Amino acid sequence: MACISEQHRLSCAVGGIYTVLAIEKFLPILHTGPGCEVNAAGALTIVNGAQTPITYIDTSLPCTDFCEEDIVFGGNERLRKLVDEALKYFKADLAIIVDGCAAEIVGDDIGEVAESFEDADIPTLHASLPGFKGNNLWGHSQILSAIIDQYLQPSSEKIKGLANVFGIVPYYDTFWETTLERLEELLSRLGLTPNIIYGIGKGKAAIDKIPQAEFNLVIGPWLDLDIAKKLENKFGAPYFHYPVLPTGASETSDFIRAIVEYAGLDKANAESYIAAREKRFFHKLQRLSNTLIGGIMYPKRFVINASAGAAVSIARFLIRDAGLIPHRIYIPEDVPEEHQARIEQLIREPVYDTKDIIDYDIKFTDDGGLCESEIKNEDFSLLHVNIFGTTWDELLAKNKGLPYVAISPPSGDYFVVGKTFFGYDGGLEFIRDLQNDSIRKFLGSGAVANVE
Amino acid sequence: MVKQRLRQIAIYGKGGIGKSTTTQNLTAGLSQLGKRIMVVGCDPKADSTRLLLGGLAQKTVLDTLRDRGQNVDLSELMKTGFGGIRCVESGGPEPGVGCAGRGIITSIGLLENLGAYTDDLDYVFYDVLGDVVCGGFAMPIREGKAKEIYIVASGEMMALYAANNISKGIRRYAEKGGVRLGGIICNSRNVDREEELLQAFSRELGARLIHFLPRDNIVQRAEIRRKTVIDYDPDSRQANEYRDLARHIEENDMFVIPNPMTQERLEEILLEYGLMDNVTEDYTI
Repeated sequence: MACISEQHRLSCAVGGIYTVLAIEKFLPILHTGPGCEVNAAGALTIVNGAQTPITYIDTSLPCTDFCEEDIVFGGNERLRKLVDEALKYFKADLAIIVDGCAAEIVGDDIGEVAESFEDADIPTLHASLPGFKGNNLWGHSQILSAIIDQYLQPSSEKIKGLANVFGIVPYYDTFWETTLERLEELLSRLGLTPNIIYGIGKGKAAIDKIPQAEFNLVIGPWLDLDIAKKLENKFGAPYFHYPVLPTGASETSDFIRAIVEYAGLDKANAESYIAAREKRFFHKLQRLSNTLIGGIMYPKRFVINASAGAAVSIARFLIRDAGLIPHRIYIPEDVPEEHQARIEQLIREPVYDTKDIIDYDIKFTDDGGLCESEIKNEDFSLLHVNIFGTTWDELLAKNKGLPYVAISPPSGDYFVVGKTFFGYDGGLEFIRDLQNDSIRKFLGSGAVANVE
Repeated sequence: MVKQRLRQIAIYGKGGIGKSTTTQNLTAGLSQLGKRIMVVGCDPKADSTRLLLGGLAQKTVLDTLRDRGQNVDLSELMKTGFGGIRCVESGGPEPGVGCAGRGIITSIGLLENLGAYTDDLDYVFYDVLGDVVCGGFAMPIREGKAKEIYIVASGEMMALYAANNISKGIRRYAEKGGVRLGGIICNSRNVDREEELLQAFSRELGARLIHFLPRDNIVQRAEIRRKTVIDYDPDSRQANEYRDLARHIEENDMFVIPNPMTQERLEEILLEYGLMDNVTEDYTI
C-alpha cells in the first residue's frame, strides 16, 4: 500500500464486514472505533450505487465503540458483554466478531472472546480487520477465511454439478447482486447447480453447502483465488478459474464454452443457447452502430480507470464486440504483483487486424488520482476519448466534456438497482449507457439548451 | 523576586536499576533544600511513590478514571508525602492487556486538565517504566513536558545498553523540541572499575556523570520500612549521598543533546574497562 494516494477506490479492511452483510442473516459485531464502519462504508454503499445491506442495517450494527478506556485497559470484557446482548437481540444465523486498528494494536484477543461463545446457539466466529494490514479486499478474504477455517467442516458427500461461485466481492463490485442473479440463471440453464452465498434467499443454507461442492468456480482475474485454494486444501474440491467476468456476446459465449467443457455439460444445449443469444445481441448492437461508429464526434478510443475485474471485462468487450480502441488503462486496485502480468495479458490478448494502431499503457497502481494527473492536460478536442471508471473519473469526464460510464467502485450519483454489465444483455446495457452519455455531451436533443 | 521556572525532569533507565528508589530519595533531598515537588509515577506497577507515602496508599489516576470517569477531584489522585512532596501514580492496565503507554498519555492529560501543575511547584519528576517500549512511555519528554532527562545506570552491561538506547530516543526528541540530557546517575552495583566506566560512558555520550551513588544496604533496609533513606536514617552516609545528588541536580547547568554510540563502540568501552572478561551474571531481562 502506498502511504499517500488520491481518489480512494477502496476502503480499509473493516470494509470486509460488507461481505458478512451480503450473506443473509450473518451479523458482524464490531470491536472498533465508532467511525470505522462509516469509513468502511464510504466506497462501498451509498456512494457505490446507493447500495444498502440485505438483512442488518449497517449503521445500526452492534459495536463496542472502542474508546480510550478500552485502549488503556483492554476492551475484551466490554466486547464479551456486547456479543452476549447482540446474539440475543439480532437473532442472526451466524455472527462474526471483527476488530479494527486500535484493538489490534493494543492486543485485544477477539479469538478468545469468540471461543467463549462456543456453546451459544449461534455460531460466533472472529476475524481481525485492522486497516493497517490491508484494504477491504483483504478484509473480504479474512471474512471468507474465518468462515472456512472456523465454521465449515469437511463433507464426505459431494453433490454432482454443485459449484460454489467466487470471484465477485459483494458491495465492492457495484453490480454484484444482479450479476450473481444472472450468473446463477446462466449456469443453471447450462446444467450446473451454482451455489452462490451472497444475496437474498442464500444465507446459511448456501454456506453449509460449500464443502459439498464438486468444484469451485472463480470468475474474475484475481480475487478469491486464495479462497479457492483454501477450499481445495480443506475440502479437496478443485477450482476452475475463469479470469474474465464476461460482458457482451464474444466473451459470454467463450465463458459458456469453457465452463461447459470443464464441467462436462451438454454442449449441444449450450451451443443452441449461444446461437440464440448472439443473434439477439448482434441484432441490437447493429441497430446502434450508426451512432456507435458512424458519428465523427463519437470517441473511438477509451480510457479505463477501474478495478482489475471491470477493466478486463469492459476492455475485452469493447475491443471484441464494439471495435473501440484502448487509449490508456489504469488499475488502481493495489493488485498483488503476482497477478499483474496475467491481468495485462488478458487485456492485451484481443487484437485487431491492424496491430500497429494499438499502442497503449496499462498501469497498476494504488493511487486513484494517477489517471487524472496524467490525462488532465491532454488535449482531447479533436481526438475524443471515452472515460470508464468511477465517480472520481466522472468529474474529470465532465470537465473535459467526454463520455463516461460508471463501471467500478465508488460509483455514486445513481441507484444501481438491477443493473449489471454481465452477459449478453450486460453488453447492451453498457453500450446504451455509453450512447446516452455521448448523445448528451456531443449532440443533445435540443430540448434542453445550455443557455450559458 | 522572580520565581525560578518549573523544572520538569524525567528519570529513565533499565528496568530494575533503581529509578524509583533514586527518584524518591533524590526528591526527598530536594525537599530539604526547600523545593516544592510533584512526583508522577509512570509505571503500571504504581510503586514510584511508595517510599514517600509510606506505602501504596493512593488510588492511581487510571483506576480512578476507569471507576469514576473524568469527573474526579485532584485531591483524590494526589497525596502529599515526605517533605510535602505531592505524589501521583499514573497506574495502568493489568499485565497482558490494554496499552500502558496510552495510559500514561491519558493520565498526564488528565492531571493537566485537573490543574495539578500549579505555579508554586519547583520540580515535577516523572519516574518512567524501565523499558521505553513505545511512544506512550516517551510522553513525559514530548509536547514540552519534561525538558530535562537523567538516566540511571550502573556498570552492568545491560544497564549501559539501555542507557545508550534511551539516549537515542532523547536525541530524536531533542532535535524536534527542547529536550536535553542532564546527565547520568550511577546507582552502583559494585562492579569493578564502575565509576571509571560510567565516566567514560558519559564522556562518550557528551554528558556528565552527575553523581555516583555507592551501594549501601541501608537503602534496602529503608525500603522494607517504606521510607526513603533520608527519612529512615537522616544522618547516614547514604542519606548525604542522596542530598549531594539533589544538590548536583539543583545546580546543574549542563544540558546536552547526547551522542549515542554504535553497538561496536559501546562494546569497545566495555572491553576497555574489563567488563567483558568478567561477565558472570545473567543479564537477561
